[in-house]
Amino acid sequence: MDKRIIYKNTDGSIVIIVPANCGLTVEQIAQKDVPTGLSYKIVNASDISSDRTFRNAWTIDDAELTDGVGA
Amino acid sequence: MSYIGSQPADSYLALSKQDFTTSATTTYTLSNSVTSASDIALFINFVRQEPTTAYSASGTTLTLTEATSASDDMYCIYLGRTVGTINPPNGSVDSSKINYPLTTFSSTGIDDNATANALTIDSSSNLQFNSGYGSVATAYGCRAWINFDGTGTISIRSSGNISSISDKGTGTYTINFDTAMPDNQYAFLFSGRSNSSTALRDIQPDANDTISSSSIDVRVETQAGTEVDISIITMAVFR
Repeated sequence: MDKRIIYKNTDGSIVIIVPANCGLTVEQIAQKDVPTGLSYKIVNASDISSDRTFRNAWTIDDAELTDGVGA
Repeated sequence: MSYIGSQPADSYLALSKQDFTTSATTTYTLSNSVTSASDIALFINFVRQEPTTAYSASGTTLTLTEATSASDDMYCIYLGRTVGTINPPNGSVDSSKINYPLTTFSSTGIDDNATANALTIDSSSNLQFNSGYGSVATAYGCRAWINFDGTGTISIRSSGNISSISDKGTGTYTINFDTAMPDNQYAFLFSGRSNSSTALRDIQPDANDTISSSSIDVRVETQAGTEVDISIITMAVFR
């Protein structure tokens, strides 16, 4: 699946969800695997940097997380 | 051969003949149940008898209006009740002809092409098989597994019963089950391969990580205790 789901943890860290080919849609996976109440954004995998040197420093503007909220 | 109307299922049916040992009686027992006298053609001394006039028949009882003698020859041909004598041809019975579930299924299992039972499902729905174990015993299945790349653009190579992995930072992930486990008391096995000369200390959840029925955390640590990305991370869950 060439999509990724981004959400921000309660501690401010960024989590990137990699969907599996399990028969669920990326939206269904987002609803299921994003923690309840946290907003998320669905992006193309190519939008995520492959340079993970400073992975723990990644951040995202809350205003970008507009695609839904974890169920 | 062509037919007008429905093709008769004659490959499954055959007429049946019954010979009687006659005596001075009017009552005989049919070997097949019938509903009326017209369901059989009755012959006494090779003369066909008229249904309902010369005889009556119901169920397995044949009643003559006049008693036979021991010297009479009597037989009948079943007309209204044909008797299946031929097995259905190979491949002729499809699943729609079977009444599922097979509530009367009582087999002890599938044999091993000899005489021993090799595979079965017990009354508690446990799948049991031998397969080199030495006897038929309950097998405990791998309920989820995954092989993923934790470097670069994180990606799942292959998986079973996994909905996603959550990349939480360098060397730290949550693996989310598609169908949840019944509880968090499952056995989990992690392994992997480093993509560098950095020696790994462990690939496992640490004391603060979550092990739940719906997901399990894992972190990859170097011998110095720092998280690190590696190229192959695998996991299997048994329950």
